[in-house]
Amino acid sequence: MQQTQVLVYESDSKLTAGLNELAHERGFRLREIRQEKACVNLLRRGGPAILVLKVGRDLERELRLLERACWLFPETAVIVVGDTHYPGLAGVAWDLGARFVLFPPQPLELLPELVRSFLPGKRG
Amino acid sequence: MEPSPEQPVSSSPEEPFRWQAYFQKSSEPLFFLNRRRRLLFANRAWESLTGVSLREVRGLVCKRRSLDAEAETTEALAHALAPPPEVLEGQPARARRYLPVQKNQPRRWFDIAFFPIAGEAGLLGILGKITAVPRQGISDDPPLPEKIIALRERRFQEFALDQIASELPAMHRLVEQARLASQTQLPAALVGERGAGKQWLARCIHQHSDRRERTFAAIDCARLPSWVLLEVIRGNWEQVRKPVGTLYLQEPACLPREMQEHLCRLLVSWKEDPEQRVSVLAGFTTEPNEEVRAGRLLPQCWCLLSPLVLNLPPLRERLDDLHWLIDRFLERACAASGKEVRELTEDAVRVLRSYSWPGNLAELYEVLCAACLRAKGDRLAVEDLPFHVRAAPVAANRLLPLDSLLQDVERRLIILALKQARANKTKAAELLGIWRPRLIRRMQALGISL
Repeated sequence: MQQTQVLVYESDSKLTAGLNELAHERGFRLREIRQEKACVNLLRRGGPAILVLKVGRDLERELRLLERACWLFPETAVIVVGDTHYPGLAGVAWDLGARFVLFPPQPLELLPELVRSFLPGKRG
Repeated sequence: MEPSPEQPVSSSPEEPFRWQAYFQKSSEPLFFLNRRRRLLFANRAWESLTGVSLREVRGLVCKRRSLDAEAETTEALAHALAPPPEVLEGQPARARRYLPVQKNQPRRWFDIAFFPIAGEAGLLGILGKITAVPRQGISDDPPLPEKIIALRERRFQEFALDQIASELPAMHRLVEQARLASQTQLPAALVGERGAGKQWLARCIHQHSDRRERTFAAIDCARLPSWVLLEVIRGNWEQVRKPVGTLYLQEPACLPREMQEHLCRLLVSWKEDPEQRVSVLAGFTTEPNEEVRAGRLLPQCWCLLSPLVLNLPPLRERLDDLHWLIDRFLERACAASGKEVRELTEDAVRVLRSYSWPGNLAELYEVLCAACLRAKGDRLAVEDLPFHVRAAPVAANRLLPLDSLLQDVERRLIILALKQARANKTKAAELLGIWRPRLIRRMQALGISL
């Protein structure tokens, strides 16, 4: 069985650092990605995947990646994380297919638990 | 569309009816397609709405196609004005379409009514009328950048009920049920195997409703942590609470009991206060009545979620749809795999038809993606398909055993009659219109006992 990959699309490694412990505990491959094309190529490889997508720096590019990931790779769970208060942005993220949207005031510390919930194997 | 009193439609019985002049007076956008779906006529109201002159687009073939964000206006127009399949069969239909309009007007959805005009030789043409859909539930927040709105709208165009080009009666029924669900704010249950398309259909229902300008949020009740689900259901999670138009709950039977109880209270309160209402759609993989019997789903919860129940047939019961499903998915699979594949060989299609598709549409898409990755040219061949599909035993032609089908129907009717007659065989025989001795003989033959 292919190893689960958790891709984190961000530019400052903060979210990736917060997931290191979980990666070590659950044995998935954790990768920080900074380019849209690289992200798509990794998703193309197939196998279980979770994409943590941080938005706020370049909204158009980030949401385009969200749209492509959800539409072309529907088995990938995309969690959108933002620290911006842009009104309506959370709604767009849900509309484009995010499995969950984590925006203020909800704390970023919730992210590891969200990622854990989408790892393969857990089902209600 | 009343004719002007100043100018009669025709001055004498011999003069042909000047229908174009008549339609030009209408303030409603109207257009006419010939039977080959070519645009022949559009009135001034239509030109004013679209910002396009009829002279530029006369002869445009209006059919559905995949669009990208940079599609030309004429391509987008042809896509939007394409009549649904049933119109070509002679039935009027209504479709909600995203129409490219003049640049200084806000982007909007429109309802387009298609009226087929038939002659002795069949379909002559199609008259179309465009009506703007009033915008409801728009947030007071400042609008997002135009490009982001365009991205959202582009994705929404994929969720259109008239994309279902099936001729199966079960699918026609499903489409009508989905239209009904979109017109009400009642909860609806979507029941189907994993991968059968429940979430896609839920999104279509949302898109066709007057809630389309608000958010569609899909919540995975089986995976998300309990505390998250509780906050979502309580309505405390701001991003999900407003401005949510439709909440799609995947597998609500996986919710803990207390959350199901809370959900019930919420659904009841929304009934009483429509202003606060969020439309709830629920997706079930397992038959909901079994979940209730097993104690995983509260009966009240099932009752409140199921004013409408839409059953999605599995792919193996829709193999006649395989050709257009492949067409729909192939372009997407090419984008996912980064390859350019135009079509499948006949052998490859035959192998796909003989496969049992336990994963339904989701599996079909994954198989096409995997095959596209392996393809060497622009045609998918049998060797490009995944091994488990190629190696699956070829299904024999499906038999339609008449005797067992008739016995099954007979058994159900007898059981129903006995229930209605409260086990009184004489009354049951009367209900069935047969003699009592015959009923007893059939009960013995079919193994029915009281």
